[in-house]
Amino acid sequence: MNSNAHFRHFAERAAAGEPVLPQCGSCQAVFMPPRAVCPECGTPGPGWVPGAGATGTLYSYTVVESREGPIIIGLAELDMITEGSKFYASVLGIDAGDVAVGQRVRLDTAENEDGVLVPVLMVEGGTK
Amino acid sequence: MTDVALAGMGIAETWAPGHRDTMDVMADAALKALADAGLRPGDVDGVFTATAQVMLPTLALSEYLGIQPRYLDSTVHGGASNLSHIHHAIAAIRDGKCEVALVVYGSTQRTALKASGSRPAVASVPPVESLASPMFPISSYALMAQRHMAEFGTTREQLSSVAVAASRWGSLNPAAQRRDILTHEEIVASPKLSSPFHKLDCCLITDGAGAVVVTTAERARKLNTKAVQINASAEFSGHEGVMAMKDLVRTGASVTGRAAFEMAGIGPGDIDVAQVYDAFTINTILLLEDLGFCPKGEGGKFIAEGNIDPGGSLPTNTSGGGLSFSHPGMFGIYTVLEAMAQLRGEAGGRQVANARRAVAHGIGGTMSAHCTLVLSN
Repeated sequence: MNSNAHFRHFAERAAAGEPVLPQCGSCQAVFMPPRAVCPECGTPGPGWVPGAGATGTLYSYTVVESREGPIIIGLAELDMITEGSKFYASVLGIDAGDVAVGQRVRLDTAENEDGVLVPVLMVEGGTK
Repeated sequence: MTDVALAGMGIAETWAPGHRDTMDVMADAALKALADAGLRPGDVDGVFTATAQVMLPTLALSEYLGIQPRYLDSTVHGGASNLSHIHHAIAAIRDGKCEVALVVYGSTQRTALKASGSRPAVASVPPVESLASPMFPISSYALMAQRHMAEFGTTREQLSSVAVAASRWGSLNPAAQRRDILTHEEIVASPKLSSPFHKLDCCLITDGAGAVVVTTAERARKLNTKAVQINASAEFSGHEGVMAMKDLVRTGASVTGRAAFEMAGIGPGDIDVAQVYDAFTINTILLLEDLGFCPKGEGGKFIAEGNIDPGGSLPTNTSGGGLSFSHPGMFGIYTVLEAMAQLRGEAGGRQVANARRAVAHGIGGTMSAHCTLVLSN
């Protein structure tokens, strides 16, 4: 996997239960994924903005048939992301049969199979 | 500007697992392409390779074939790599940096999978995506497919029609690894992987190798082969992972398609046969739309109506494609090889009558790298 310092910080803050989103210090654009240079204005060295509770809309999803049963992966358009890119994460709070494009989601964290907190998209008013 | 042509083509054994080393399938394809062009390894002065299995592949293959190239290119960005090699070779030839370019791909991924349980790959899951444990890269394309269904009303049956059309072509190709004609019912009865995709929405996993020889049109004429003219080429990348893709249903193929058609001085309506990289059923829909062969959002309808089938208005992926012919990893070289076979009139029972102009389009990553070639006979 192609890791990098910006991703490591993103994952570490999520693991601490305080998810963050990259934000350009120059044009203020919020974007994903974390990277070295702002994709909107080209300024290097973006900073971070708290992301917990950020709301958005499910742009697309896929139900993956895993050994442990179906898991939902979603791409959300978060209202805070001003630059047009998407937030990619597991979707929780809804049964796989009920997930739909356009549902409102909220950025949260939850434990993965190794007990590490990772960012997730929680469906608002979901079925579970 | 110097005209450039494809002077030779070679395809190695595609039945798998073949218990051969990757270097040997690459050498097999390369020697066949050179023989087809009436050339010997010593005539080659530019070597371009892509593979996930050989270290320093351009050096290794050059030594193996007794070539001392003065132009070397090991560009790897997935299934667009070999089309990009051709795009780069055109520039190198026009700039006098080489005259005879050998472009080679090879993989024994199926043999490796059978032997070790894991498949060699050049792409890895992007780091943020890894936190969600997706089925990579299938889930990335599944997200495109689901969005296409939500935005344009594309149906599950229309996705199936892509694999059905590919299987109809495959049934006409004795070299295709899938010869049976699929039905929508069989596709949706195959195991679910990452919705909306079932197993039969996904390409085959095979061994294979392919090679082409690129040289000046003048040299190709002297070789007295059935050379295929390269009218235009263009490459582009807008992202690596799907998170950075601002619109999942509008791809970089619209950039390379527009540039290539403008350079060739023709439009999509002038094309007799199209070869687009069909790793998954949604690919053919997105790429035909973005290359301008049908309106945006109507790719599913266009394909379900039979337009890309044998006898249709736009015969597409006439080898059977990655879904039915063969898919040894970076499939791009096969889009070029099948376009050449059609333009040379050598496609046997699947030959498209009077095929004069073809498009070959490769993609790499998750709709990340794009390269379009416009070819003619």
